[in-house]
Amino acid sequence: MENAFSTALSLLGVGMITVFVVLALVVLVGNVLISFVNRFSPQVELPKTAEIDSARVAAITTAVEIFTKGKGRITKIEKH
Amino acid sequence: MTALQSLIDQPSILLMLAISFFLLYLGIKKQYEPLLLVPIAFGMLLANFPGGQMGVVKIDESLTLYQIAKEHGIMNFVYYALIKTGFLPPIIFLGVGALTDFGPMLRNLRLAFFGAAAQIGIFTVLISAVAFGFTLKEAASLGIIGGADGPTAIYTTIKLAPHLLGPIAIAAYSYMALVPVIIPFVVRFTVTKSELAINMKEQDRLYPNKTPIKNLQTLKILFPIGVGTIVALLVPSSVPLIGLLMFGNLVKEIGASTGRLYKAASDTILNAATIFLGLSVGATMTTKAFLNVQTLLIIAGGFIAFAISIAGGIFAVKVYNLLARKKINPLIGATGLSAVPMASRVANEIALKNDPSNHLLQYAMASNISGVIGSAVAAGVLISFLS
Repeated sequence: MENAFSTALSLLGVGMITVFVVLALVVLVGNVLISFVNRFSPQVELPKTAEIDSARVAAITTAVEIFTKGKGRITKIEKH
Repeated sequence: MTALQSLIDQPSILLMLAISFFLLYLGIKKQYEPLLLVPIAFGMLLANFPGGQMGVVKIDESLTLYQIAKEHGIMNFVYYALIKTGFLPPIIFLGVGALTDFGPMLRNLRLAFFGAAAQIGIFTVLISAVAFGFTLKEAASLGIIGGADGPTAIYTTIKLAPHLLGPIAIAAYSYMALVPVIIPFVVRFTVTKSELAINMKEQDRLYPNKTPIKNLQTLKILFPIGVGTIVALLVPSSVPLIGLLMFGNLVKEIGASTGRLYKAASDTILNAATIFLGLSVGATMTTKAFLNVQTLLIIAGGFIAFAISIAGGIFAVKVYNLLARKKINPLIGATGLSAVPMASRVANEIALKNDPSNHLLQYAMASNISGVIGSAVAAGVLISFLS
């Protein structure tokens, strides 16, 4: 019984520390990835063009969002 | 020929049938986690029909699956092929991953720490359970209920104390269904009115995030790969759960090109796995396995583990608030349990009741999702130490 107690106590220590360390690393990985993505793959902002009015851009954006279920992104809108 | 004589000989069967009907009532009428409670309750019902050969029994594991099916019925075949091998809980995690959005967590990464604090109930109840005469393996399986994650609880129990699978699954899913009751109960005793009034959006306005995310879509694709790799290297025994959680999430985030995999993982596979898991876990609850003092202790211990985990998250936030300028609502700590997204919804409702402008759902989801990772890691630690 005493042996079981000491194992249980050490599990409390080891378990909680491991969970904290792993989640701290998750946070770290998240922050590193945010910096990486911000630097190497930032989302291209839509070019502001006077030729296409904002209502049309909104309509195109909505259509792309619905069609691609939120996964697609517009990089360029050209008027022919 | 009929089972009526068996009912007369063994009246305890009637009690098991009554418990099954009660659980069915909770699942169907009260909507307590119906997707799992209904199959579990029905599996329990099937297992307790005398002569039906649907109850899971302890058998010689050297038998082939064909022999198991032939000699002990199809439920034992399902149990020994899909549950005892530890196959289904990771498959459920695959589906859970496909349904999870890491976006709220990525936007509020510091809140992920509270998913760790809320695992304290697992380990404290483990110690108490040893005092009540449970073996270490049984105590760990009981404690994991405090992680508020059904598949994790089942997976840990299969690995450490399979004979307790029925009562532990029932306790885990019942308490997950009772999250709307348990969180407000713990919050009432641990959080003050002024703490409840901390408005997360206002705090964000006062102290904005230093690094805005410029491409969330790409980040969401890289995140499961990165986190999966890190967790796998640190806690290899949690890989079956975390690995499939991250894979499910990855196929979701890639988008159209893996859309079919996402659909299968989040729909067909998850639903089929849920049916087989529920029915076969329910089928472990025969009179011999369920009607004993241990079951009562598991039900009580599970509740305590749950409550301590919620309180642990809340107190971690309180300590953080003592040190930080940017305050956090303690309800965010209360959602460090898994129980996604119900815990977050409940926390949001409590906050809105105190201040109709205090929408903290997105923040609560951050610690809630990290709680899924936290409980899987805790399970990994228990399994690697005790199995």
